[in-house]
Amino acid sequence: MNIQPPDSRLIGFIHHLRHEGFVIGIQETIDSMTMLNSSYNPDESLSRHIIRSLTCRDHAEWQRFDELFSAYWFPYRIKKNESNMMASIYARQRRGGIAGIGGSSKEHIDKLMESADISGAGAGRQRTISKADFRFLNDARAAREAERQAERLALLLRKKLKRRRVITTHGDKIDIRKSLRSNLKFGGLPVKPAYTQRRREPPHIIILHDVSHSMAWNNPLLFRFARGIVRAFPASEAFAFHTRLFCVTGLYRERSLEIMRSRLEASNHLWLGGTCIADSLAYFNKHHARQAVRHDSIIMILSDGFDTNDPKQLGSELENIKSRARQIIWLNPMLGRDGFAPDETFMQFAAPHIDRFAPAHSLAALEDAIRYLAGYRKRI
Amino acid sequence: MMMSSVLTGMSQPFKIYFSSVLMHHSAMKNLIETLQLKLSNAGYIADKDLVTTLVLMEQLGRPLLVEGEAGVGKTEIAKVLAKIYDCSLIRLQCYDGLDANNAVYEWNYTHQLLSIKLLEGSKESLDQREAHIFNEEYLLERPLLKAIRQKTPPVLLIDEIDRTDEAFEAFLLELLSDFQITIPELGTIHALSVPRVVLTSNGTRELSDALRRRCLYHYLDYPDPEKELLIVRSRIPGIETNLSKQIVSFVQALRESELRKRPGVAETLDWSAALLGLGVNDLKNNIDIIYQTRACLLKTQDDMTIFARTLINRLVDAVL
Repeated sequence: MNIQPPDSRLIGFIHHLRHEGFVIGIQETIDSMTMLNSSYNPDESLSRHIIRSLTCRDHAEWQRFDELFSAYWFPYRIKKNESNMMASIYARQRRGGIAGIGGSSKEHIDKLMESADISGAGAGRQRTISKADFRFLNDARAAREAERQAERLALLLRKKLKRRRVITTHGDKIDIRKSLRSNLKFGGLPVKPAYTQRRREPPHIIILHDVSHSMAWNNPLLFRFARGIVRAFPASEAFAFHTRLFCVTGLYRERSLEIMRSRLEASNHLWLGGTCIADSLAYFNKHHARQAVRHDSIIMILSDGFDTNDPKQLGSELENIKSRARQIIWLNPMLGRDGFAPDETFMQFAAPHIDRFAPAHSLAALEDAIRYLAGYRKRI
Repeated sequence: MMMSSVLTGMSQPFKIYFSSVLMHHSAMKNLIETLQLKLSNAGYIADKDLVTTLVLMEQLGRPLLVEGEAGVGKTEIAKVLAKIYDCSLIRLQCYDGLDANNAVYEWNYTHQLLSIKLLEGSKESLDQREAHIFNEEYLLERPLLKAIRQKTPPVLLIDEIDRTDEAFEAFLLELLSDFQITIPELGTIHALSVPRVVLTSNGTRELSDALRRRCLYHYLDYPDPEKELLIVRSRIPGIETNLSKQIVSFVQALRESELRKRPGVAETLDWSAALLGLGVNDLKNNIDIIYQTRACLLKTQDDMTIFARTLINRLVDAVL
C-alpha cells in the first residue's frame, strides 16, 4: 500500500482543486497547511471548513467543494452521483441520438481537436474550449467549463460598460474637485473648468430563446449565456419559446442554477416539442412587446431558425418587432458550421429585418456577439 | 475520538508528532467553541463552518467576503463582531458611482481656497504654498482611511460591494492586501492597526478574481429550520414555543414557493414581532391575520399577487 505523507496529500488536494477550476495561490496553500498544522486530519468537518473558506472564491465553488473534498479524502464513500443535472442532460442527449452529436470518444476527441485551434496548444484547456463547436462538447466536464465561460462572457459585458462619469475638457457638468485642482495655479479661480461626461448606458436587451427539440444539444450553453446577460443587466428581459412563448426573466435571475433548470424543465417541457417561431413572435408582439420593448431595445434571438410556420409570417412579425425596437440580432448556433446555409425563404423574408445575423456555435462566436454589444452604445 | 485511542499502537516518534497535531486541533476547536458561544450570547446564532471562518479571519488577519441572499444576516456578522471584540464598527455602504473621494479621503476645498487667498500676500514660493494646503490639516477622513488610522483594530464593514464598479474594487485591493492607502500628495499611509474587514455581497454581479483572492470566502445560506427557530427565540424572547415553530415552518415552506424575492431571516423576525404584537398565538386559525401581515414577508407586487388566500391555506395545511 502506498502511504503518502500528510503534507503531500494536502498539496495533492490543492492540485486537484486547481484542476477542477479553482484559482488557488501559494498563499492559500501555505495558510491551509498552517491552519491544519501539517494536515493530519483528526476532525473531518473542521478540516473541511478550513480548506473551504481558504480555497473557495464564489458560490459555485462553494457548492462543488463538499463533493470534491469527499471524493478526494473519502473516495470509498462516494457513489456515482446520477442526479447530477448536467451529466444527465448530456447523457440523455447522447442516448437520444440527436443528429450531429454523440459518436465514439475517439471520434469526439478528433472532432474537438479539429474544430479547436490547436496551434495554441500551450494556451491551455480554456483556449481549446473557446473555439470548440458546442456540438462536440459531450464530455461533461468540458461542457460544464464551457457553460461557465458562456455565462462569464455575458457578465463581462457589464464590465465593459461602466456607468461612471469621466473627466473631459467639455461636457454637461462641471467637476468641482478637478476644476479646483487644475486651477490652483490661477489662485483657485476656475479659469479652465473641468467637466464630467456620463459614460454610455448599457444596452437594453430582450432575449428570445428557442428551447425546442432541435436546439436541445446546445441549449445548456446558451442558457448560461442568456442567464448571464439577464443577470448582468437588471433591466433586461428574457422569453423562451418552442411552440409557445413564455417569460423566463424571473427564472433566469434565479441564483441557483439547479433550481433554475429544474423549474424550467418541470413546467415548460423543454427540448421536447417542435418550433413555431412566427407564432411565438406573434404572441410576443401581442402580449409582451408593448411593455417590454423600448425604442432603444436590442432584441436578441437565439435560435437555429428551423420553423414550422410560414416564413412570410416570420418576416412580418420581425418587421413588427423592428418597428418598436432599435435592433434585432439573431444568433444562430448552426451558422458557422460546414455545410449549413440558411433557408432561402428565410433569407428572403426574415433577413431584411435583422441587423446582425451571426453564429453562436462556440464560445468565440458568443464573444464576438458580446464585443458587438459592447461596441453598440447609446448616448443618454 | 479520544486522543489515547488514536495514539494506541503508534511508535514513539509518531506519537509525539500526532500528539502535537491533535493538540493544535484541540486548541482550534476550543477557539471555535468559545467564539460560537460569544456570538450566541451576543444574539447571533452561527453554524460551525461560519465560526471556523471567523476564527481563520482572526488568526490570519485576512478580510472576509460573505455572499448570500438578502436578509440572511451578512451585515449582522460585522455588527456582532464589533460587539464581541468591543471595538468600533466603521461602515462603508457601497453604491453605484462610489469613488475614492467618498470612501477614502477628500480634501477640504473650501479651507484650501481660503488658505490660498490668505497666502496671496506672503512671500512663500508656489511649492511651499502647495505643501501647505496639501497637509493633514485639510484632509477629510472617509471610512476606509478612518479604519486604518484607529489605534484599536475596528471592524470595517464594506457593505454590498457588488453595487460598486470595477474601478473602486481595484482601488480596494491595496487596502485589503497591504492595509495601506496611498494619497498622492501625502504618500502612503500604513495602518496603525489591522482592521477586521467584512465585505458583503448579494451576488448581483461578479466580483473580480483579484478581490476574491485576497479574502476568505463564506456563503451564507438560508438557515435550516432548527437554526431559524433558535434565531427567532433568541431575538424575540417573549414568543411562545408553538407559535415560533409554526412561523418557522411556514416561512421555510414559503421559501420553496416560486417567489421573486424569498423572505430572509430578517423578514421572519419582522413577521414574528408583528404576530406577537397582534396577540396571535396560533397560526392555524388565523388565515386572515397571515394575509393581512404578508407585507412583513413579501417585498414585491408580483409576490403579493401570488400570495393569495388559497396559497396560505395550502401552506398552512401542509406544514402546520
